[in-house]
Amino acid sequence: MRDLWLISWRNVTRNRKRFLLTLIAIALGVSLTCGMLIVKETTERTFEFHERLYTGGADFWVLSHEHTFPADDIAMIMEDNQVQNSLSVLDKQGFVELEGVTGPALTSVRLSGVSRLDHELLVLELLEGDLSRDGLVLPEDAARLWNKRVGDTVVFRDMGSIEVTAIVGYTPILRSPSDWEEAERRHFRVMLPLATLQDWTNREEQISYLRFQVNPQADKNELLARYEQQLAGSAQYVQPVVIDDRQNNSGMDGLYFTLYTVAIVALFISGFIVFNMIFASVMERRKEFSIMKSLGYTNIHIYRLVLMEVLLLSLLGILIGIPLGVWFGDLFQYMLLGIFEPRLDYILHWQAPSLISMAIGVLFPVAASCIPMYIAGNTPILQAMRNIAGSPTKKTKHLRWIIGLLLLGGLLIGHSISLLFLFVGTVLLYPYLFTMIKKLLAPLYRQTLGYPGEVAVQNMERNLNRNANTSAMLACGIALVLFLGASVQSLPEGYEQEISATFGGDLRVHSESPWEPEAIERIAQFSGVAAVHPYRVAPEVAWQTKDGDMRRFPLISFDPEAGEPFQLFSVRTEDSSAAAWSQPGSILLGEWAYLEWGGRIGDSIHLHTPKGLTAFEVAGIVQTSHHDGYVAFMDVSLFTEQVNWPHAYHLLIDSESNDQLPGIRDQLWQHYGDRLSSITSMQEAVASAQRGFDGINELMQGLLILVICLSSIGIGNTLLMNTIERISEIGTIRATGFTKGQVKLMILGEGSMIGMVGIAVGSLLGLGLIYYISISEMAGSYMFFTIPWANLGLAVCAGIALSLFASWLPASVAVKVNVHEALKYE
Amino acid sequence: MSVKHAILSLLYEKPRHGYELKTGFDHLVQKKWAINPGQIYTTLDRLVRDEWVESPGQDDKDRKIYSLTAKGREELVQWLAKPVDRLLIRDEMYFKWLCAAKVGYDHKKQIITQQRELVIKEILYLTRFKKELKQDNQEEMLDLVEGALLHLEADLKWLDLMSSKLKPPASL
Amino acid sequence: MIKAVQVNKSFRVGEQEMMVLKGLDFSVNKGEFVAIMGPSGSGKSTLLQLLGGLDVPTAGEIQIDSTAINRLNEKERTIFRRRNIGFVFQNYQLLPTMTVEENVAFPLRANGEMLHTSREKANQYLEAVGLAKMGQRFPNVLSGGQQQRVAVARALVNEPKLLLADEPTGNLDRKMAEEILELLSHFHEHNRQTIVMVTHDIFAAGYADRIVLFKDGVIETEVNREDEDYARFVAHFMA
Repeated sequence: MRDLWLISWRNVTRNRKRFLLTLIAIALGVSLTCGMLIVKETTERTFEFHERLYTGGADFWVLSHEHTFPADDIAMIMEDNQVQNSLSVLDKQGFVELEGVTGPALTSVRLSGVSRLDHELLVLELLEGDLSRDGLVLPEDAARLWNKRVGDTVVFRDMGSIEVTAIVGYTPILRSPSDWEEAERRHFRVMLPLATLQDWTNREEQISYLRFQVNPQADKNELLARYEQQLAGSAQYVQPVVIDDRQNNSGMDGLYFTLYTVAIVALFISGFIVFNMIFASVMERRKEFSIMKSLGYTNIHIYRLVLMEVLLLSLLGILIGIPLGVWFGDLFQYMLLGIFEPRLDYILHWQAPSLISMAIGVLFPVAASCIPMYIAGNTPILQAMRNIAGSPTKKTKHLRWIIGLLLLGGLLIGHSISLLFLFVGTVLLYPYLFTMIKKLLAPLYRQTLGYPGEVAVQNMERNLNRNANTSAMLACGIALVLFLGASVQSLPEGYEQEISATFGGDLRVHSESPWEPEAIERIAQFSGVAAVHPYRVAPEVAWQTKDGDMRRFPLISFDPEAGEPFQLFSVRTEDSSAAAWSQPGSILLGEWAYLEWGGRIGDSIHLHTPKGLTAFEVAGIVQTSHHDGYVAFMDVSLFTEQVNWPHAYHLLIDSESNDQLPGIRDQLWQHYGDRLSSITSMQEAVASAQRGFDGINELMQGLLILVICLSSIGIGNTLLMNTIERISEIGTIRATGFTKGQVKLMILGEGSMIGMVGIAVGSLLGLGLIYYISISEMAGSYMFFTIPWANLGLAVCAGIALSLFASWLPASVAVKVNVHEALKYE
Repeated sequence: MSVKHAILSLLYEKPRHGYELKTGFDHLVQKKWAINPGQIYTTLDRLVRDEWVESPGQDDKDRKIYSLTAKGREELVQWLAKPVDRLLIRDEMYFKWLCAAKVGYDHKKQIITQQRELVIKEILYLTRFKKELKQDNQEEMLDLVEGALLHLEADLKWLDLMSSKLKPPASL
Repeated sequence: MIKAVQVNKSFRVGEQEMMVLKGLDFSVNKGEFVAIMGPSGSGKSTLLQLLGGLDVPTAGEIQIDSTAINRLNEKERTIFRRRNIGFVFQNYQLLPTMTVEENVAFPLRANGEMLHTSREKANQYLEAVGLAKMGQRFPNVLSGGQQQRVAVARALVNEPKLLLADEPTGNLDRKMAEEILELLSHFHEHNRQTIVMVTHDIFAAGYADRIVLFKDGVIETEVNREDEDYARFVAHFMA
């Protein structure tokens, strides 16, 4: 048995260049797949982890529609025997006194007073200091910017001073700006003992919310119902803690889709290279196989022979590819998470993806070698020994384009799988496209390259299938570049449009305590303010998907009577049933929430509102930029009654003109600074989204250069094989008239033709794909038809450059060979 | 097959008496061609008459000793150098070849070379002849020519074989 | 027409230098048909490659019609070759993806000639070798003899000063070989084509005016046909 492996090893390494190229192809395919899977897994887990950090392992929390409430009001819950580990928290806005830094926006702080600093539900990563001591706990970002260390004193305006007793690592509950630029838009968050804060703010015995765990054996649903009942009618309500960060991290699904796509394309191209290599190897050895068969080997023996060679290559490929993939995954993960604010720490989850990639690393080369394996085993004995080339039967010839057309028809399905059909269909129909475009390009080649160009065009016929397949790979890569380029280009535009249409004005002001009518009046009088509009948000409303999955999103009020600038959503088509939306019991879902929910308009959805578990009828779907559409809306007139949420903590401001905005801000800070949680402008929202897109855009372009590089390895490989098979002919050509230069031109012509056709078809395919997606349902309203000129230019230039570059090696090989040796070559 | 020249070759090696020549001849042709002693003496007489051989005296057993004259030597060398007419090539050339062994390597080599050149020239002539016959459509003659060419090819191959057996004498 | 003077050619085989041609002097007159014979390794193919400019001698001079081709660079040699030399190979060496006509026209097109003049000339020569109707066929459907005839047409299409043939009958049976040799002979006699042919077959060599025998990198012997004695030979043969 061992010597079979030895023989296989010898066979595989017979041809150095081919062995290395095949190995590289497998390794790259495996490493890209591995990297992508790792990134997907790690990203998912990281977000989930941070979600859990945020919730701290609590099962429930009790909140209020008031800013604060007396802790006694929920005594019955706190003393419930099923309740273990409860944490009381009071949140209050304030200002920190810093040397050299002034301005309300920069010094705005949210202080969280907690019942115990070292509470299990807080999950703080202690960097310095001691959590068991009573004092101020700073996140490291704040400590750094404020230049405070453990032991220093911090003064909060109109509140008091306190010693810093601990500095902790990043946790969502203490999320603070990482630089002063960010501090303009975001407040600092710090933690201190509850009693201290209550004392400072004269809110004895008051808290903002309670978090707690229950007995693990207890029936949570039963408890939830009980608590809801106990709190019914009061200002307080209970919510189950739900791990769901979709409202903060949209686009992840799109990202995962991209990652999978890149992995699949990489596998496709690598698989194709492997196929070519093994095919060539098998074809060369047909005589050997027929001899073996005449001596007694059956087809199965030969299958096994080829299989062992492929397995050997796979194992080596995995050996190289997996470590490479892990490294690449780490690099990519680092860059990816850099796009998000804040930059999250992560632990690389490489184990499971590596195992999966190993399996793929074995399976895909084997799959790619199936056809050559079959050919090897079924070598007809006599034909091969006499070197008679067999011709493909008529049947298989037609099979290719028939299947191709069928697959193209799959486009009509309209599901994302039909994209796969489109690509495979294109690859299958490619030879015919290739021949057509070749005919068109022929005169051009004749003009520019002269007779060598003409010969190059003729030579394409010879290995038409192989050349077509290679060109197809490039085309698919380019189509992908264009498609993703367009989506990344149009998405921000779509987003920007969406944000400006549904932001609801120019400024959004969030206060920690409800906006009283007098305050609203006053603000409306600020200079520069054209109009104001308050709205209500019930945060963290838990709901269930049709599958029974627990999610959470905010529930936002809308006012059909509100003025134009204050619309928080838009509708795609004029819905005549708009009147029905204001019916009691009706609710509107943002598009994304609707998709996740899985139901249809008219079905009921169950929400744990502050009023309790209620069923609502989904009356419509809307487009909104709020929480990326992972949100629900309800008519404001129903809010108090149906949701038990009487107060508005949010205020929308429409300014007279954009230059008035800074002035308005100043006035807000001046008059209401001590209660402001945040002021967000529409431009900031747009800018923030834009930052994300820029980051993703760069990543995409990087990934896609990789794909094109992989394609060009494919081209180089094909041309090399074409050239090596023709050494004898090239000798003849040189003996009877072509100079080295002319031979080089000929081969460059062949390579560039593969490239040109690939670029042409790829561009058409990409543009067609963009158009198709823009008019279909799949990407929602975010994707509309745009021609990504930059990407198109990049693809064309990269395609031409890389195919020329890939032709260079085979061209050099072709002219290096001694003419008389080439002539003798069999 | 020329007994005359065989005797000349044997005498080239060293002077011999009559009986020695008989045994020498037998040994030379390895009994392939048989002659009787009488033929030896008759030939010797003729050789003496042609002044290619002389009899200077007798040995200690009173036998007549024969030796090669200068003229005889010249005759031998010329005869060796002359290639053989086509029809007799094998036997007669081989015969010469055997004699040449007595004379020296260079002569053996020369035989091959000369013979080969003749064969080649004949092939050249015959090929030209064949071309002309073809143009005139002379079928029967063509067959004969083809046959002759084939024989010549074979002869050439045989000569190559002989040539490959030629070993130069060990260098000094 | 050809003048090779003191030509040396050595090859590096592994670590050693192998001297294939040693101080060779060789010449061919215009209109001569010379056959070169010799055992393998004797250097005859090498000489042919040098004459065709496919390689350069390590030392010595090779003049073809007063052009010293050993002094030309690679590109100049290729250009010289396609204008002045025709090559016929043992394996025919036709390009499988081109039609017979395109194959024959190749040296002309490589030289930059226009399509229709090249085509005309190609068909002219195809007719001359007796394959007038085969222009649009592909080489793989032709017999060995036919393929070699196409090769001969290709070798002559550029009206070369010199035709070089390397074992042209090596892959052919007797009958086809004779056809090719008669073809070459025909061009030699009627067009005064200068031909140098390497062969190991005496039957083929017989068609030449002169046969040169190679051994160990030098000329061993030469045999001329000496047409003065021809009549006498025929008479003797007939008797």
